[in-house]
Amino acid sequence: MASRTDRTRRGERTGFSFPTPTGIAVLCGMVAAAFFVAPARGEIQIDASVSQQAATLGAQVRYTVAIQARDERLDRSRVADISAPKAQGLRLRSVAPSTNESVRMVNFSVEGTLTYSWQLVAMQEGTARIEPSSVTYNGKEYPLPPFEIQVVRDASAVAQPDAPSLPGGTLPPQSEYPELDRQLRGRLFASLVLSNPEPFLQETLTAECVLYVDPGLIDTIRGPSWQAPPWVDFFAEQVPQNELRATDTTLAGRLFKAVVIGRFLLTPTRSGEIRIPLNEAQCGLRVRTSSRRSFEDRFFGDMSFGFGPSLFDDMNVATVRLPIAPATLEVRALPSDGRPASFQNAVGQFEFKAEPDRAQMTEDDLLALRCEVSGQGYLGSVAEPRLPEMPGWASAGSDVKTEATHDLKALGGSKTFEFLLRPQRSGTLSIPAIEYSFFDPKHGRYETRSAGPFRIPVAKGQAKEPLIVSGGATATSASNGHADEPQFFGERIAHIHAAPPNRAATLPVYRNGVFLGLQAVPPLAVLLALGFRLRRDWRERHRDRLHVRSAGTRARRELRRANAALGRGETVAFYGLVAEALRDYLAAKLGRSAKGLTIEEAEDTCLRRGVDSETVQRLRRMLEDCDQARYLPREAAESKVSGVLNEAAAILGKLDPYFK
Amino acid sequence: MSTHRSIPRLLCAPLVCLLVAFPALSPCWSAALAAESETPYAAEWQEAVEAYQSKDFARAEQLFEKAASEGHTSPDLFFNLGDTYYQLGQPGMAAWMWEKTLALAPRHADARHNLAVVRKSSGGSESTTFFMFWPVVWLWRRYTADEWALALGVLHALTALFAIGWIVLRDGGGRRFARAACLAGLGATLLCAAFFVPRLARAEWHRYGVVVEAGAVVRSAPGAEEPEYFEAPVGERLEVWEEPVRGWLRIKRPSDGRVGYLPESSIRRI
Repeated sequence: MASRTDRTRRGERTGFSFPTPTGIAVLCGMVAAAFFVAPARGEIQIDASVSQQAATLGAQVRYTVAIQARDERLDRSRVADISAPKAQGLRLRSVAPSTNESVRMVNFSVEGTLTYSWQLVAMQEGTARIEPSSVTYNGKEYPLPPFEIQVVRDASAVAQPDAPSLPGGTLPPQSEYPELDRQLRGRLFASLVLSNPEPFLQETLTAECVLYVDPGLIDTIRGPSWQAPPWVDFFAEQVPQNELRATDTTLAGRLFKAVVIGRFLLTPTRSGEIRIPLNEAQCGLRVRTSSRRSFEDRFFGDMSFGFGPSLFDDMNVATVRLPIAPATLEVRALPSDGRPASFQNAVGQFEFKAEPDRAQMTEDDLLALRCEVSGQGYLGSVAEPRLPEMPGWASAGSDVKTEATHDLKALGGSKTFEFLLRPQRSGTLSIPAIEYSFFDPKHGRYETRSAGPFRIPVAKGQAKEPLIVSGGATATSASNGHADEPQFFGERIAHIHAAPPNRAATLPVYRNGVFLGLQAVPPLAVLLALGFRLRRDWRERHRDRLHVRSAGTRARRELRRANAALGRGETVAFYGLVAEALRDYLAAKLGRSAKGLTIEEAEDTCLRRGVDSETVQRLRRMLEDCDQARYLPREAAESKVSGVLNEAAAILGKLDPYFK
Repeated sequence: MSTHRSIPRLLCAPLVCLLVAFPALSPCWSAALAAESETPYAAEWQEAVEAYQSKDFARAEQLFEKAASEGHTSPDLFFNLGDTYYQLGQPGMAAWMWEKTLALAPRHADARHNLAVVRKSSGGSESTTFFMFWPVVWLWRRYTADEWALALGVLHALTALFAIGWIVLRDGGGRRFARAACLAGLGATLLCAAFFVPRLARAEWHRYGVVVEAGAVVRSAPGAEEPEYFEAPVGERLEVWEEPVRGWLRIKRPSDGRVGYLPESSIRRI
């Protein structure tokens, strides 16, 4: 029994696959039932619609003509005089419509819908108009109404006829179903809600994407998401949404369920007007539609193989895009009045603490002065405090540690600056009070906090070498030291390199054409090897066939060897090789061994294959001559040699057509 | 050998290959790259070195600058020029030159040391690395995009060679070896590419600059009247985001991600 691998190698199918003949027959039967068994006469209804009645300049409007038939088979060939709409102020994107055809069966009644859709682009501010037209179906003319679309420049000015007045302006939902778009208008939309549309520079505000849903639709919403815009000119921190909660909200006298689907904490990094571009939310909506899924999809398209609820209930999840209108923020610059000298652009509500790490020390020690700024606000705006003049102290570096936190509404945390100070003399040294100022956006004023002063008793040291702060350096010439080493900043730097460079500047190797060209060689070599391997495998698989096919070539090669033997004066070997060439040829063609192939057997085989009797006679004679020549005296054999090779080659030529 | 035991070995092989072979091969290709040609500005070089050693730093700067302005690029030229600027009391320019040195020769320990000295002196801070990333950062900092490209080319060729062996050889020990070597080589090649591509991006597309003016203040918007954002210490390396707007460059500080504007004159591009 052949293994699975063997069957796979031979190209046979090893797994279960659809469609089976029975499945195809069932499907054909169902299709025939839907299209041909339906009653011949029924009701035809033709209507036109537009996807929106207000649009911004450049927005796309879909114009759809729907032909609905109840208990009537829809036939595209019966539609006549359907043409692209004539419109003023709207540009047609393509004259050819996109079409869609669907059939559904409700209570043993067949409903078919055929739609033709055109995309139009709003080109002119004002009122755009689609002219009335008509469609002829099955010889009967059906009039189509005109439409007027309000085209405005700004998205926020687009007013929906049945949508309430909403914050930030809303745009109508978009899905692949025009009818669904129409039904959802004013019932499902998303909006960007900013906690403060006029923040101060670097003041944190929240930006929330809120989904407003009609209470009747809330159970049909699936997987809402928000594609946030790129936050240019902001420091943005996303607040993870662990769960989605719907709250009741009233807008323009209507009750909605509001769901926050995304939240960012934004800190503007520049003043002036900042525009948040058009962005988009998305959600799935569970709708009743049977038109988009074929029967096969329903049966084979889900993992439950048709036994799940989706087989019979005609429910599907439609993706609805909810555009969110652009928003504008007016970021106020920080006031220059009352700005303290110690203000370094920190914005928020902070506390300031400073304390030295020890109460007393010696001249050989370093003092760490820790200054901590903590509270609510963007820590990026918190700069290092400016230390006042500190006589008797020298700076030996500083370090900073940031611990940022945030909640749903604000950024915050703490930033700790550590200043290393080296005493320059003994005695009681003082550190004056350190001030830190920030702008409090909540109260709109500058605040100043201070810490200190501190007095540190410094004892006499043991006159050790001062500590080198740049401890991480490992340069050899720096550690060796030089007599004339530069000491500009009190630290050792590595000395110059006196030896002239021996390397001329070269083009980077990744830009070198030769190098890049060479990179193509290995894959090509691998491909060649692969080709070689495939050819070798093929030859091995078809060895028998190739053996038969190359029998003539091998026989002629044998004849050439025989000719060489003759040249060496080996007459007996010559005859043997000629006979062997002919016998091997016949044996290969017959698929048997050359050993034991008698002259009579060869003659019979040739005759059975339809070889003419003259050629068979010549073959027989040749084989007999070869056999006899082995036993003839040398001189007699040599006298018969002439013409043997040509005769053998001629016989092979005659036999070839019969043994293809 | 069971399969479950061989898998970790197979996974370790690329990393071991890379870690062992690359540093070992590095001096070879560096030597191969070095054209043993006479420095075209040898005389000026000697004169500049002598001027530096005799503390005539202005003359040394003039001579080194002349070589640099003639289009000669060499790590040591930039390094010496950095030292000369340092001696002349221009730590920002010195830091710029040492950054250029490191861009050409990341293993230039003296330039790295000097930069650390300048940054510590000016109160700058280096971003710290989580200890588990040290090997990655070490490899990243040690080799240029050029060297990664060469390593990638060599590994690519070796992998292809073993792949050919795997394809062509018949079942046996040789084929098993070729297969293991090919998979290991493939892993090493991918690892190498993971270093090469960001390095290349940094060398070719990302733009960095060094603060050369003391007291350079980064502002929230382009303009001298705009609010101060933070002070960029001399010698700090900043990412330059855009072309200058009215003489102001939009920059990003890599250590904390703060973005602001700095006058063009305060920064030199690497």
